[in-house]
Amino acid sequence: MSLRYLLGRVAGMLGTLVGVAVVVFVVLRALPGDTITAKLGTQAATLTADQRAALRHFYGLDSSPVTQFFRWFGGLLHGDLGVSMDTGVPVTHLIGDALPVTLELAVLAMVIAVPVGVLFGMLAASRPGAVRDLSVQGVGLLGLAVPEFVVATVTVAWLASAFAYTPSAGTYVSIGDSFGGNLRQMLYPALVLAIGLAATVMRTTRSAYLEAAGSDFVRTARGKGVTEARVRFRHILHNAGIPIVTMVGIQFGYLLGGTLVVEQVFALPGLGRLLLDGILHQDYAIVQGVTLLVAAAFVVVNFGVDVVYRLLDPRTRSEGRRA
Amino acid sequence: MTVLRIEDLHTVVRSRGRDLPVVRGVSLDVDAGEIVGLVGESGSGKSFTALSVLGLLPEGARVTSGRILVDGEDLVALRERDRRTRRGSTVAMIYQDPMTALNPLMTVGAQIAEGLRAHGIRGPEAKRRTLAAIEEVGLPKPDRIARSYPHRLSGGQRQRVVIASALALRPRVLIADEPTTALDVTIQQQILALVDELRTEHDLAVLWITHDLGVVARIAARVAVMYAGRVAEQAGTRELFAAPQHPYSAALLASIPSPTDTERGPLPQIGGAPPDLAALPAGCPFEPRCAYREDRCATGEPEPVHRGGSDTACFVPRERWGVRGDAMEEPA
Amino acid sequence: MTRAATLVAPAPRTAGQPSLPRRIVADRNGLIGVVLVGLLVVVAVVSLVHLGQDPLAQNRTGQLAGPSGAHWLGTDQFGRDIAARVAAGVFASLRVALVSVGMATIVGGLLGVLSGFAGGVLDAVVGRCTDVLFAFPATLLALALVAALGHGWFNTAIAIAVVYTPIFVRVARGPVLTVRESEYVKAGRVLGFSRSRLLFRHVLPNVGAPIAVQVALALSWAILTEAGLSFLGLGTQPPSPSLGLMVSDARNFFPDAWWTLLFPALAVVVAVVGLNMVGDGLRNALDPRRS
Ligand SMILES: Nc1ncnc2c1ncn2[C@@H]1O[C@H](COP(=O)(O)OP(=O)(O)O)[C@@H](O)[C@H]1O
Ligand SMILES: [Mg+2]
Repeated sequence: MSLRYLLGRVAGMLGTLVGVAVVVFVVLRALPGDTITAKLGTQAATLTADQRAALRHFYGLDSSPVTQFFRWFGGLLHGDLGVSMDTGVPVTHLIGDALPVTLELAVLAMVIAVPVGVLFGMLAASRPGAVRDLSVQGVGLLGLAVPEFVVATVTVAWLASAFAYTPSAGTYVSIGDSFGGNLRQMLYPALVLAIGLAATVMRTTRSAYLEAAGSDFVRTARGKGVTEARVRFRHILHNAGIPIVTMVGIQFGYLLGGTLVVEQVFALPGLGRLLLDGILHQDYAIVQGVTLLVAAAFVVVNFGVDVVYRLLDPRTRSEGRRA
Repeated sequence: MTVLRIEDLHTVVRSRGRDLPVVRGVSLDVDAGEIVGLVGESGSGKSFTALSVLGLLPEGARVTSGRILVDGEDLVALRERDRRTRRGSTVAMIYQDPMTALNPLMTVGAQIAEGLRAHGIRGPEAKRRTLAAIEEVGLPKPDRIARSYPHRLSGGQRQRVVIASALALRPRVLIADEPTTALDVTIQQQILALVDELRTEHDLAVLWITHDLGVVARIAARVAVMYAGRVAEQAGTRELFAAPQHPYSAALLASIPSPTDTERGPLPQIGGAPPDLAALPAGCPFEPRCAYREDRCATGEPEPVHRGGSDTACFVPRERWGVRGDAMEEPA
Repeated sequence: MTRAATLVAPAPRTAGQPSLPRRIVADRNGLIGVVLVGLLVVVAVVSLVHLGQDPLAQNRTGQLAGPSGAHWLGTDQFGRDIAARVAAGVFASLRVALVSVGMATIVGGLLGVLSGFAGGVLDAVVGRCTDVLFAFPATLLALALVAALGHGWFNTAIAIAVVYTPIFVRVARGPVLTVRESEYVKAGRVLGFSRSRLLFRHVLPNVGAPIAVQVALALSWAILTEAGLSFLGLGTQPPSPSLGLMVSDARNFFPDAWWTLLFPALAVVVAVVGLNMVGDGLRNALDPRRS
């Protein structure tokens, strides 16, 4: 992979990140209208003109939107995401507390979903159209179609009736406090997340595997007398691996912004909960901060996926290519 | 000495709930050190014959009857596990498109060594034989080639690698399925010369599949002409070119330029199309397109007979072909 | 002129084949999908004319009653008829899905076709904008937009439309580029045919197919997203019936009053499965290589 390519991609990524910041600013700063009215609700009507102006000045709302954007953007570059209007706590602190929860959830879900999805995808692809293929595909479609909130709700109800366990935000145990206690809390939400993920991984694996299995080099390998197991893993799965890895990476990026429902139902203090609380309390600094962070993470993850993709494939890994 | 003997091979493929006959009673012998050409239009069942020998038929296809003997051992009767151990060590194959025949994610050396390892050759011995195999096919700097990924090599180099890999275990039989079709003319000639040389050196029995009679003329001692899953005619190359005994062979010959001409024209063109395997005619499958057909050609399928130095599955001897046929087989 | 006519043949389409709807129904998955989606559309239409029960009518005596002759699918915690509420919820889901995907298809499709066909600055700008929107995980973008726009079904529809617009831009632009570079359009240009004629006669017929497949998938995503937002309290607001809200309410009564959760959940699943299968059927019907 050439340095030039890498630099070009990094430049493109930075451009996208600026674009992301603009969109977040426009959507969450300009669209919601007057923050003060939004914040104080009916009380806003009782403000005197002077109080109102003072507040506007305090929040920097008296300057032009462009100036506001650059002030805000400059803050971002210094790692300043603003202050929660509700609690006065810097948004970066709130995110700092919430991020590990979401990350752990996402990683756990991936660790469960990827092997399951890959194995079942291979199983389905090993005999296209056969009973095993149709059943795996049917279950996979259900996995995608049953909404996460339904699975999460049912799981919580089951936990309550079977173990008299009711998740609550107050009793959250971090991984530092107790590994086992933490895992007990995280396992079920991660499993719920893993269902849809595994279905997606399974579908990608199935089609990538089928595509690779039809390649000429697979026949060449069999023609050498290579064992069927080795043909499947070393040749077919390895080649199918490139699209699978790409998809898994992208799904991981999605997951960072997609744990909201599960965090809500299982009362986990992650980014999703933070975002949801921010939205419900119209605490826009929080909403902006979380949205921005997750989108940026998504962009960076996608960039990483692209780099990994290129490293995995010798055709794009090597420097000068011959014609 | 006969190394490969195919006896009355029948292969079908399942399509839309019924078995289509793709190979219908092919019999062929290839001796040690001999190259037999297998020619015929695309779709005539050449590749299916080859894949039946290797035991690598695609999903849905299977051999229904017949025997495939290599040094007297019937491969069809073997269990899949034993079948696998014969691939590469007893029978090996090289393929049409060298660009796609190699795994893009493995180095060339690893791909050759993998075949050796599948047959119990490991460690330094595998490495030594990998390099020797690369050297044998005339590639320079074997250790550098071994470390290369396929995309770094040209089409001709890749085909040499495929040949090296196929011959690394010194198989008795090599099946070449149109290995030069995708290459340009000079490279084609080099590959032909290489296989010819390796054949003498290792006393290989080679079945060379092609739809190019020019290639056959150059390399094969004997030729089998396939049509609609059967061998229409089998003869010495010289005999076939001098006096084809089957109207289909004659038509194929008429459609190529002089065999010494290196410029390849378009694929052989004969009026009409091969029959639909799902609705084969009751008589000779070539009858609808044949210039010399007689009444009985439409009712019964001819069995091979020995005539004029060849085995031909045709009711009508050359002598009865008449004036029009003589014009057709005149070399250009 | 005959020469020109053959040079610029109409866009290659599989001629002499059965019509598209027929081919979708001929595909097994497509047929199942069409039946499932058709079922839901009937349910939604029935809810419009209020046959049977009022989805909002409360009943203090018959709360959380199981399925019975009077209430086929039971009642909820306010004694409201679940069947009527599911039907109304299906209608609400389909309304959001159709409106949002309709907007996204029109805006995204047009932008994609135009930018692909025009190239140059327009293409670059549109491409950059779609890149930026793609930088947001879909659910997150929908959430942020709902946070900004506020609740209600129409705002939900707008949010979903914004998320899906860049997808339609890409889907429409790809085939346009292929067609633009193809011989018959190049030849048409050489012959001086107007751009609009090339666009309408040769380009549009080729983008229809991939867009159709994407529409089916987008509808299913829209239904899931609407339900999810409502579940979180960010979409449809009570007392309006919504499948997501019904599941959210059912949390407190599950598993005892299982019908409060099962039926709305089932409606979502049927919609998503059905639309995905219609998408599969479309894909198979449009792609002659798969069968
Ligand atoms: N899955 C299949 N369904 C139907 N027909 C098939 C299938 N696979 C192969 N065939 C038919 O079998 C024949 C295969 O011939 P093949 O051995 O590949 O021909 P050749 O190598 O001589 O070109 C073709 O006529 C092809 O149409
Ligand atoms: Mg072939």
